[in-house]
Amino acid sequence: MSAKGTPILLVEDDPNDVLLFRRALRRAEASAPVVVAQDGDEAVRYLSGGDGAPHPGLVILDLKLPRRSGLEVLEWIRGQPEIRRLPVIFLTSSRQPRDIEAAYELGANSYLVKPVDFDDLLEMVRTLLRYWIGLNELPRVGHG
Amino acid sequence: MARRSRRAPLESSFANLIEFAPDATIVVDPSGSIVFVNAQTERVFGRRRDELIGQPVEVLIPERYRAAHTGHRDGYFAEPRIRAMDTGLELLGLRSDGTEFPVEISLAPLETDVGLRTMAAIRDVTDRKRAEEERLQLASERGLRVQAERLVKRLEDIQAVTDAALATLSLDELLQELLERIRTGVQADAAAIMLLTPDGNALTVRAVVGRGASLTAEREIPIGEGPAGRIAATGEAVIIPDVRAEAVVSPFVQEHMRSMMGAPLLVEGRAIGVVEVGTEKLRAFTDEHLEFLRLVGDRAASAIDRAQLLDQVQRYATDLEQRVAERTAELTETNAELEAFAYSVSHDLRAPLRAMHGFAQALLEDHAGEVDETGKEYLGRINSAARRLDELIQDLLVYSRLGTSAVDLVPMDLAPLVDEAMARAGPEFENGEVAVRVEAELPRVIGHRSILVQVVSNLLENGAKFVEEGTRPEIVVRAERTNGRVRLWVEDNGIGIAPEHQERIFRVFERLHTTDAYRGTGIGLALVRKAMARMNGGAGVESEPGSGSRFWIELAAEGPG
Repeated sequence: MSAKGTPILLVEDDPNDVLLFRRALRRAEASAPVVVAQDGDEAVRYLSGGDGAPHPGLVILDLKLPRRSGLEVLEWIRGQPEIRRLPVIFLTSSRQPRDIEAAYELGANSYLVKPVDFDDLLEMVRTLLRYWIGLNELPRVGHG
Repeated sequence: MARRSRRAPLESSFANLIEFAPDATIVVDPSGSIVFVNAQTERVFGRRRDELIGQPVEVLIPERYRAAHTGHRDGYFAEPRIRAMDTGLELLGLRSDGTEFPVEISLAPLETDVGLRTMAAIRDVTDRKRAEEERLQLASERGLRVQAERLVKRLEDIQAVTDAALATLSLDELLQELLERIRTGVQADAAAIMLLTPDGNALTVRAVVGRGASLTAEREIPIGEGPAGRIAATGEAVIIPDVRAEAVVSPFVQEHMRSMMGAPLLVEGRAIGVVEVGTEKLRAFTDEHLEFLRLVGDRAASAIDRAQLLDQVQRYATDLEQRVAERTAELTETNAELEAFAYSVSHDLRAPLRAMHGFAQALLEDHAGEVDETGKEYLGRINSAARRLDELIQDLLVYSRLGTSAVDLVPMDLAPLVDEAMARAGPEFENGEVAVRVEAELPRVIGHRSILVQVVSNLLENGAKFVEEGTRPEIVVRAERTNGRVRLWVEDNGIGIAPEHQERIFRVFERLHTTDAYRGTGIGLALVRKAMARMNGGAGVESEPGSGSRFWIELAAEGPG
C-alpha cells in the first residue's frame, strides 16, 4: 500500500477537463492529492524532481498535448531508471486503434477513454482509485 | 503416168522433183545470178519467178549482209562442197515486202553441162525459231518459278520469324531483325527502314544495319523528295542503278552508296514507311531483287504496323498503370486525411461536449438550491443533448473507420459473438427488460469479429427500440444456412416498417421517427449495411407495419455446403 500522501500526476491541457476531473475526485472522496501538469514538458519537469516535489504514485496522461505528446512523455518515463516502473494510465478522447496500440507498445498500464457523461466519469474515477490506489500494489519509485 | 515417164528425160524429172520440193530451192551460177527457182521459192520470198531469174542471189537477203555474202559466194565457188542445213548457219531472208525472216540454208555444188552451178535449199525456220524461243521462254519461266519458290521459301522463313519470335519484339528490335534479314537476302552493304512521321509529311530513319548502322536519323526526308520520298508518295518500288545520277536526300547514301533500291511498306495500301538497301557496287540490283524487297516489304509492313500498335498499347498500359498508381496514392492520402479528420473529431469535438455535460451536471448537483425546476429541466436537456451528440460522433467515427480500415475475415463461432453483442447493446438485454431468445444452434461464419459484434449489437438495439409504448421488447435471434451462406435473423415485436421505407432506413441519417419518439443517431442501420458489405455479406429487412420486423444479415459460412 502506498502512503496516503502520494500524489497523482494528472497531465491535461484542457482546463475544463481538469476541473471536471478534480470534481469527480472530490465526489469520489479521493484522499490522494492531485498535481496537474498542463503539457508534456511540464510533466517531464515535474517528474525530473528538480524542484524537490515528491514522486507521484500514478500518472494519468492525456494523449494529445501541446509540444510533447502523451506518448512522448510515456516514452521518456520508461527511459528514466528511477521512475520507469511508474504506472501510467492514459485518459484520452481517442478511441483510435492506432493510439491504443501505440500506448501499450510504449508500456502504458491502462488506457481509458474520457466519457462525455459526468456520471460515467465519476464511475470511472471511483473504479480507478479503488483499483490503482486501493487494490494494486504500487512499485517503489524514486531516487536511491 | 506411163506415157509421161516414158517421154520425160532424166533432166526434166529432176527439175520436177526440185520444183515441188518443200524447201525453197534456187540455182545460182558462178556470177551469183539466179538461174532457177522453184515454186516454194516464190511462196517463201513472196516474189514471182520471172522477177528472180537473172537477179543476183543477194536480192534474197537483207541489204546489210549483201556485200559480205558476195565474198562468201565467191569463196564457195572456189571450193565447192556440200553443206548441210544443220551446220547451224543462221541467216536472214528478205521478202518482197521488206520483212526479214530466219532461214537455214544448205548448199550443194551442181556440175551441169553449162558448168558449175550451186544449188541452195532454203528453209524458212520462223516457226521453228518461235518454238525454240518459246521453249527457251518456258525454260526461263520454269527457272523463274524455281526462283520464285525459293523466294517464297525465304519469305516463309521470314514469316515464321515474324509470326513467332518477332511478335514479342519491340518495334526497334523488330526493325533491326528485319533489316538484317533483308540485307543478307539481297547481299546489300546497308539497309534502312524509314517510317512516316506522325504528321505523315516526312520520313525519319528508324533503323539502319550494315554500313551506316551507327548513323542516327540524319534528318527528315519530305514525302516526294529523293528516292525514298518518291517511293512513299507513289507506293512504287524502284531500283536506282546509279546513285550519283539521283537527287538523293541522305548525304550518307550520296557518299557511300553507288546503287540502291527501295520498296514501300504498305499496310492496307497505305505507305507507313520505306525500306531501302544500298551497295557500293554500281547497278547491283535486278528486278528479281526488287521483287524480293517488295514482297519482304509487305511482310515487314504488317509486322511493323503490329509492333507499332503493340508499342502504343504498351504505352497506354504503362500510362494507365501510372495513373492507377497516382490515383491510389491520392486515395491513400485522402484516407489518411479522413483518418486525421476522424481523429480530430473524436478528440477535439468531444472535449467541449464533456464540458457542457459536466458543468450542467455540476450546476444540477452542486448548486441545486440556486436553480428552479425549469432551470433544472433545461440543464437536463443540455445533458441529454450532449449525450446524443456524443453518440452521434461515436457512430460516425465507427462508420467512417469501416470505410477506411482493412477488414480481415476469419472463421468464428456466432454464439459467443451474439452474447458479446448483447452485453454491448446494454444492460436491458441482460436484466430481462428486453426478452431475447437465441436459437440453440448457430453455425460458424467467416467475418470480422469486432465489426460483427457491433453489427449484431446495433440490430439488437434497433429491435428493442421501436416498440409500442408499454410493450416489452421481444427479440428472437436465429440462423439459417443455405448454399454456403449463413443468414442471421434478428426478429422483433416492434411497430414494423412500411415497405416503402424498408430501403431508406439503411441510409445514413435516415430516420422515420423524431428523436423524441425514438432515440437514435440515424447511423446504426447504415453502419450495419456498410459493415456487411465490407465482410462480403449483405443486410436487409422483412417487415409490415404492426407485425414486427425481421432484420437479417448474411455472411459466408465456414466449411462446405
